[in-house]
Amino acid sequence: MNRPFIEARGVSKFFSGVRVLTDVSLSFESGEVHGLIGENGAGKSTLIKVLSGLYRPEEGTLLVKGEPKVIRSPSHAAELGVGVIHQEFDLIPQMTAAQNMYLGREPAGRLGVVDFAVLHSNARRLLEEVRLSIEPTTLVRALSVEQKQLLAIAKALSRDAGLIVMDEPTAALNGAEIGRLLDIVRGLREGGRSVIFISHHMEEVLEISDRVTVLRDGRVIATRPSSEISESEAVRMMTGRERIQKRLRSALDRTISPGPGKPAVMSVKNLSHPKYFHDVSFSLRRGEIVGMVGLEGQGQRQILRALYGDMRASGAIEIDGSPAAFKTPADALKRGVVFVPEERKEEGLCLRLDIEQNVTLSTLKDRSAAGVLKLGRAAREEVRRCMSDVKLSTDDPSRMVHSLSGGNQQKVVIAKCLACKPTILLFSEPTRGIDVGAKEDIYLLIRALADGGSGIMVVSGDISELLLVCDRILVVHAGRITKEFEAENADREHIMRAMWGLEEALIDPKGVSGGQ
Amino acid sequence: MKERVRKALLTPSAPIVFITGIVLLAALAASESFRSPYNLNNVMIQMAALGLVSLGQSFAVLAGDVDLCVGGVISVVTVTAASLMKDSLSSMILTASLALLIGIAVGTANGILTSLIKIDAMVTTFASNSVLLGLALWLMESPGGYIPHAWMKLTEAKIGFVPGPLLILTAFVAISWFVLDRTVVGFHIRAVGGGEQSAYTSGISVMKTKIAAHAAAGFFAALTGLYLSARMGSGDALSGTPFSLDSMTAVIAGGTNFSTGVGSVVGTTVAAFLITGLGNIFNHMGISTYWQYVLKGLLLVIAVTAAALRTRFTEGGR
Amino acid sequence: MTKFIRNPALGNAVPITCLIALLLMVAGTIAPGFLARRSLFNLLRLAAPLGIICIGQTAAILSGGVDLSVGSVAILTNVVAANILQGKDANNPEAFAVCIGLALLIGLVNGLAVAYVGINPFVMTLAMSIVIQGAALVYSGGAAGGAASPLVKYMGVGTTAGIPTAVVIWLAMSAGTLFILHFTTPGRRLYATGANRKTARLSGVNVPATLVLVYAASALSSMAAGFVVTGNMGVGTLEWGFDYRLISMAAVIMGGTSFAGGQGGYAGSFVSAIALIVLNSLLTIIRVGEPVRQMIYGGVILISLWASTRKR
Repeated sequence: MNRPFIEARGVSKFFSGVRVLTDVSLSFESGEVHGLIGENGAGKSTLIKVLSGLYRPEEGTLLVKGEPKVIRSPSHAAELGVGVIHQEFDLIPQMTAAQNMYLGREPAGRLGVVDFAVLHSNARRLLEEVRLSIEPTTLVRALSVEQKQLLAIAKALSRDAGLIVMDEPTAALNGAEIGRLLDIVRGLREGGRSVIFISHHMEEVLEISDRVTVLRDGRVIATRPSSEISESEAVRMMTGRERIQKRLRSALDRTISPGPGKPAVMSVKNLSHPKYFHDVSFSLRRGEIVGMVGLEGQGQRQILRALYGDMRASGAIEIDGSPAAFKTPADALKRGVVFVPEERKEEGLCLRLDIEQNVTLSTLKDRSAAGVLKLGRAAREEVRRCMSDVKLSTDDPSRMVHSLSGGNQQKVVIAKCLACKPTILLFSEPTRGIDVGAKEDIYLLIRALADGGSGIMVVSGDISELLLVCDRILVVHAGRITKEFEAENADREHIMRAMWGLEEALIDPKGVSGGQ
Repeated sequence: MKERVRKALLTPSAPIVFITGIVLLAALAASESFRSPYNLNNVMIQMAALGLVSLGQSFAVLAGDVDLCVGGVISVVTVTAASLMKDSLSSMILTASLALLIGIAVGTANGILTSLIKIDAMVTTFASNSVLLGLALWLMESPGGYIPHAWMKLTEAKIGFVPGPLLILTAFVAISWFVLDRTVVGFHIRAVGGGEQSAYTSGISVMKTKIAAHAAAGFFAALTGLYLSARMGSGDALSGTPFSLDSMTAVIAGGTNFSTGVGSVVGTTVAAFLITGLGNIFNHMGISTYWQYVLKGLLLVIAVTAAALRTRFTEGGR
Repeated sequence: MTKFIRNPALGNAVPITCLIALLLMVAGTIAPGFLARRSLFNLLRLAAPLGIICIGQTAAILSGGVDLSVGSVAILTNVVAANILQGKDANNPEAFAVCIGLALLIGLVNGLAVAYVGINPFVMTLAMSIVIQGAALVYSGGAAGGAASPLVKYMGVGTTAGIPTAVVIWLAMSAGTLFILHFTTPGRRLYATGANRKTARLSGVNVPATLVLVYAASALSSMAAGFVVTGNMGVGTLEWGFDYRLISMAAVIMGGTSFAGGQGGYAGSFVSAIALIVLNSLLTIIRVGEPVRQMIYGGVILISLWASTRKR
């Protein structure tokens, strides 16, 4: 192998006193594809942000080509040869492909006049290199997701980057497109560049990488040559879940089995949206936890929002046998449907308000008479009870939500939902980016709610999580429910195949096909 | 060719050009006094002021901000010019340079402030505008001062039948277009306006770019102040007040959208022409200046409503 | 005690109260008569319209917006009310009815444009303020006339139980405001809407309705201030001393309500309104002219903005 292009030695990063990276030492070598895997919140994106100059580590040093450097800003990172392709691509939709590729370093003559001839010919050359057949003058907003992904790679190449970081480059691509992308990555390796490849899809990472590093809770768990690590081993290292799983298994054991005989608390028929999903039909029984899984952007999140009245859709939804047409979330709340959104800071919480204000937000009407809030001792006790129900770490309702950890913030969102005494709970990524302990609490809580007779839906990208907590798992592909599994006799691989919409014949015949 | 026509019709500035054309034709047909050469000449001279400020405002809006401080700059500049300018050529050049420097300095300060205070640029520039208006009033309580005759002559210059101010405006439209569409700075301004975060991670200095955009706004405002001092022949601390709002109207009506980095200075100029022209037409129709306030406010509401609806349709709501 | 002072709803009320004490001490030293009961009451009477306008401005800024039409609504109220009243109590009902109607109309248009069309509140209310100014000019023909009725005069210059009526009205409205903001469901919804619109919507809050309510309340409070000023001046006039748009914004931000929304409260604005009026009188005593005062108000906004950014 070659010498390291960039090396991290003992790097640590804190956010308001909480360690998010601990003593990370890693080297990325030229001519190497280095896979980076870990669960959400394991520290992958923090590490990338450190490499790209968006964050500065509190401890440790970075060595670029053997020399210690402090990466001050994204432009400084670019100068040092670090090109980062973020998940959101960082492209400006109203500008052309060529302008985007050379943003910040346009070829210019005297007086800063942009040399369009050079700009376009350079752009054309790089577009060919990544096999993207568009004109350099095409506006980015007219491109497909795959084209944007390739353009983002071309942009990194234009910076003559020695190290290219790809954050989830395959998240929005289909099978054939992924094949092409991996070919391009191989080409980069042959060109002597160093590539950091991040993906949730283990097999991709193992296929393309020379070495793989597993991160968990902000620490490097292991770095191994890809040939010497198996998928299951990697998963175990990522989740560290064996021990938790054993403990949780018994606690999460379905105490009552929601057999087919139980009444449906919600049934959905032919739910369709012109853009996101089509002909979605399923039913949810009392005491049942149904998971919904799919690759990013297959419509599973939108289905959940449609059930909550946050998105218009055609079709019929029945709750307890009577039709429910929600125009707004407020309508859904009235019928006992609650929703825990995936972006808790953006959509779940009012960060600048205190716990009490957040927890009571959906139940103001019940907590008031003629618009005047009941704020006496009894009301305060009620709020405290909601807080202890979700095992919040503090019992002070006047604490500001922004001062809580991610796990406790998520518990506040759930406490707000529980205050509504819901019959149906919709969770989207309920444990994204929170610590292991809080995860456990939330799993147990979800199971307890189901045992109490509620119907629960969970959308998550984490298959092991769904296998752990759900009774049934629906797979969404291209906006349709394509498969249905009983969690008892399903496994990761089959679910994964269904998510890709691949190899129908190989699916376990026991997995009942969905989309009735 | 067909494709080109279709594209031209779809540009954001197409509606304003269309509307202005109709209004102009109607006015030319309906009012004899409006179409008199003297009056048309007048309209063109009048529009130079709003045209110049609005060019500067375009820079600020394209960078994702609005600069409500331009009116204050204009006031301070007319007052400064009327206080300092003497008959000698050197005095005129020095005063004019000082005025332009003031504009650029204020713009730079605004750029720094809006990058530091990450809240709506409108609020910060609204506040700094009031500081400048106060300063102008403090320097000169009531209109007056002295403006050299030679300086006033500048606005009356003509080349052929084309008034000088219009030529100057045309030149600056061309320059602004060139800077915004052909240079690195222009690219960066549009990039910051279209996606600040993306621009930052691409290695563009957001603060420097915002400073450049606001400095351009300040420069053009100062230029307008100098032009107004020559046209009025005096300094007036209140002369700048309408321009903050009017320039914003011109830019938005001209098809530049908040926070997309898209828009053309040609649309802005046409909108400035329409706003000035409407004032003139109303005067000819005998509509009181009081009503014109009402209409100006409504014009701004219509422009922003149209812009909001356009964004909604092009991006497609849920 | 420290917990009380740190209560976020208080904003900067405590430090600003100290500032007022300091300003009063300075003023008392320069002009000994300044601290007399009469003079202090007079100050409060002057502060009343600003304080009342700040009720609406606080609500607007708390909701994540701003209302720049406040000053012009007050002026329009003054012009229209004086013209209808013509000095007679018999005309009171008509004057109040017309002005309340106008204020509701203005607030509704602002609110609908902001909540449903999605227009930037700053631009919308700025345009609205120009429209209203024009309307006031058109209505009065450029020369306002008329006179306040005895009742309205009583609101402006009379006293109740030895306290200026204007101040009593202000205190009553302030108590109502604090009650609504902190002890009722609309208050909670307002804070949630300002703090995070998406969260509020997903939690079942009717965000557009809340915003419409905010701008209607703001226009109504400006209208009330307009009546107090009318009583104070006794006539309709287009010549007002203050640019209430600027000063109300200055008072609210200085009081600790943040433009980010959902942060702060009326207590800070209440105290800041007094502080700004005391400052204004102090500047008058030491013969600082209107232009410099305007610069100071602008400066206060900029410094408060800067300070609130640093705090986060």
